[in-house]
Amino acid sequence: MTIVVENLTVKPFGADSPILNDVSFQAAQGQHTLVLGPSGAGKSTLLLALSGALQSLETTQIWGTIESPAAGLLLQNAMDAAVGETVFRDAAFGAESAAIPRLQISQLVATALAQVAIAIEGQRPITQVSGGELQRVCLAGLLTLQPQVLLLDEPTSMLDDAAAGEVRAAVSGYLEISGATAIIAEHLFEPWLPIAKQILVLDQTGRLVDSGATEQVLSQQAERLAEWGLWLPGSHPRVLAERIEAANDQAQDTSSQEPRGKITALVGPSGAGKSTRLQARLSELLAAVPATQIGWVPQNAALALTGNTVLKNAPEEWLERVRLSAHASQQPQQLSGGEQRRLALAAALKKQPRYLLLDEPTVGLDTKNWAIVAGQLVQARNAGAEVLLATHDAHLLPLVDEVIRVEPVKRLTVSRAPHSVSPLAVVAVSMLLLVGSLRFTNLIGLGAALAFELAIYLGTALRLKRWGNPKVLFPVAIGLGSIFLTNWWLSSQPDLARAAFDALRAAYFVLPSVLLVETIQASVFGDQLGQILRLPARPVVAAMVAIGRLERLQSSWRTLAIVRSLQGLTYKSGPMSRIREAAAMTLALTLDAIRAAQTASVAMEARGFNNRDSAGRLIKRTWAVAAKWGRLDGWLTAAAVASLLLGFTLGRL
Amino acid sequence: MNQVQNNKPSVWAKWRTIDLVTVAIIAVALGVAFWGYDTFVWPWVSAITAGYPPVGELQLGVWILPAVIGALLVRKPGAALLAELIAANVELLLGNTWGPTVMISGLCQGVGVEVVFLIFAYKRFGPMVAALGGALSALFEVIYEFYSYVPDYSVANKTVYLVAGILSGALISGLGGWALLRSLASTGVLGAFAVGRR
Repeated sequence: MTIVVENLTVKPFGADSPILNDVSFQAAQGQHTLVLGPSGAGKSTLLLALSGALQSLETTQIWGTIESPAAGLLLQNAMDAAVGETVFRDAAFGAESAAIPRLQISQLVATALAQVAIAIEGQRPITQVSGGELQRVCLAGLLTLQPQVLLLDEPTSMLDDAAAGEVRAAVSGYLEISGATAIIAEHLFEPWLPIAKQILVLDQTGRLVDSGATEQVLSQQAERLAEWGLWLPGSHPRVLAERIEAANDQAQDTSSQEPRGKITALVGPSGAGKSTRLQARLSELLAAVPATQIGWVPQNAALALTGNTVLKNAPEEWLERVRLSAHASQQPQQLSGGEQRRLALAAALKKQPRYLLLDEPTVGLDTKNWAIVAGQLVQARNAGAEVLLATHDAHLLPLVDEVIRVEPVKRLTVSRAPHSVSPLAVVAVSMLLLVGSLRFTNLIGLGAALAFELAIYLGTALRLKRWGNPKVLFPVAIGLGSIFLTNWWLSSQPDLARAAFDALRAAYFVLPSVLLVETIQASVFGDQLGQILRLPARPVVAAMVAIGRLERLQSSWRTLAIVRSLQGLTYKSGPMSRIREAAAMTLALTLDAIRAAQTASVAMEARGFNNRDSAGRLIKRTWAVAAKWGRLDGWLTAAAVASLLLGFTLGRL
Repeated sequence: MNQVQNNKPSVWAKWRTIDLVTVAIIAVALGVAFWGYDTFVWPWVSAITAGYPPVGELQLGVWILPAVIGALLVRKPGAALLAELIAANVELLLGNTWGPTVMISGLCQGVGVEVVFLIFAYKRFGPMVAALGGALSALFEVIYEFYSYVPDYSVANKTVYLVAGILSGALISGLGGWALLRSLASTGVLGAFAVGRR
């Protein structure tokens, strides 16, 4: 089957100009196609449109026609695109969307994981696999549906060379056995050339300016592609050296001096802990030297942009150095990812820090911007800074004085206690007790119910040798004490017995969760809500995906706090400044959440979250993991009911 | 295949993926923010609350923010409820004092906001409607707390409790939520939503 695109134009709602402008092309079966163009040319949008996800996202206006067999879309950052808590759940998402029955899903996922050479147990949380492995898990998720077209949007740009090679091998393997067609957008495109049969060239305005056989287009367009800053095969070292020199010349003063500082690079496979090492160094520095001496560019550079215009993040002089002067009055959110990265760099450099820490400063940059960033690093070093960077970019290594290899830490083994109370049971029991206990009228009934409950739950905890979360014990004790005291002295007729009743009643409904719940597993809860309570699947699944972002949002929050303290923006003292600080941090984190939501939506659409039947109705998802309701759940719920009944009966005596 | 045919169109069918996911992730982010206030906001608040709990209700509105923002952003039935339940769930995951009963708070708060937007037929999304939503939500929550935590307060103390809660709901979650969303819209990141289009 041939892919046929005719007069495709795409314009986001609210934008002035289209991202894709009247694009037409064809790709026959097996005619693997590379899409080239400068950043902002609409390459990702084209792939999104081909996958069908752009249409169901309903965030853009689309004209023209697309004919394409069923396609699977692989995105740049596997972690941002993750939709399941574990390897199995992530790989199974597409099959669930396609309403495939549970038994078949496990077979399909097992086969697909083997196809991409992943030999990890499915129960492993995705946070415990490397970036390269996770990208192949995502690919396996696509393969469960045997797509006739593979759309690859920067599939290896976040990965080190070895991991990238494994992803390419997995892709090529599938293309060979399936006869599917690949459409690839990747800025380091050289490794894909052996399989590419056709090249499409898009320009800044989203127009298709050339298309044809690979060699022919590469030779005809060489000059233009180089001018755009594309990473052409073979020419890297020379181009880069020239560019860095040019960048340094413009900054005159330091180029001739002997280097005084030092550049150290942390390298190693994605997921090995380079960022963690970098952050450990940052914490050390924060404790040892004044914040003004530290410059930091986090991996999520957007978090470092605290000013609401480009100019407020870095003064004119520094904008000039990173070639952003033209954007001075814009808002940082309107910049492209690469521009945000440069602005964050300028914001870190403006204080001329003695220590400069950067997390993947060159990801996804074209050669021009790469040279600007690399040039700034060299210059900072020459000016005496100690530069520490975490990177998988081999092109940077010639500029580096010292390389530290970070090896992956040994994997934790997944251990999950067999007997644990399920989330639904805990929530059900707590609510049951809370509502039921409203009917208690005297201390006798309540006391009996509480004693019964304590006996059962303590006994169960003892037998299972599992205790709840000890961290909440202290706040719970304080809370109960506060209920007791305030219901005593804030009442119109202070009565110790009444106050004790109120506090014991609260103890009665919080005890089960205090005693038995260590953590609640969101995915297990989601399965129960969807399958046992039969709540609507899409909101439940969206909530599960969102809660999967919890840890990363927490880490964003910490990043924001550090960024603000480095920039001297933290609250001074007093309630007003604290409130302002809370508001500013909340706004910044919400912005981060919106960005994360856009990526997650695309990832979910790309795996059929919005699948509809021929009549346009949503297809009912299946659930790859069966909801659990164990004996323990039943036993504890029954015990809760029994304690209530006991309390009611004795209370009447 | 019958399953597909039997699938009745629900209110959720009108939701785009980006509506569901954005509401859900913003709710998680707000849950994270509340957790993050730990170091510089909550110590003050708990000092006040410990001294005289009724005045402590002045912070109630913070917890209702997800519901108001969800409703203002997506403008569809269910948004406030979904957002607030997810935020409650996040609180549960991060470890809170009252355990799963926080889901009941989430329900009360979500329903309160939902009712106000329903009264205005999901057609009005200004600051006044948001403030009303926050206020009703706070009312529901305070009534729930009257029954479960502070049943024996005197009428005077309960009145202070109620007024502080409602003020906070209207100001922090209502007007504050509306203002937060306006700031977000002005950065241009909400182009996919009606509120973000100028």
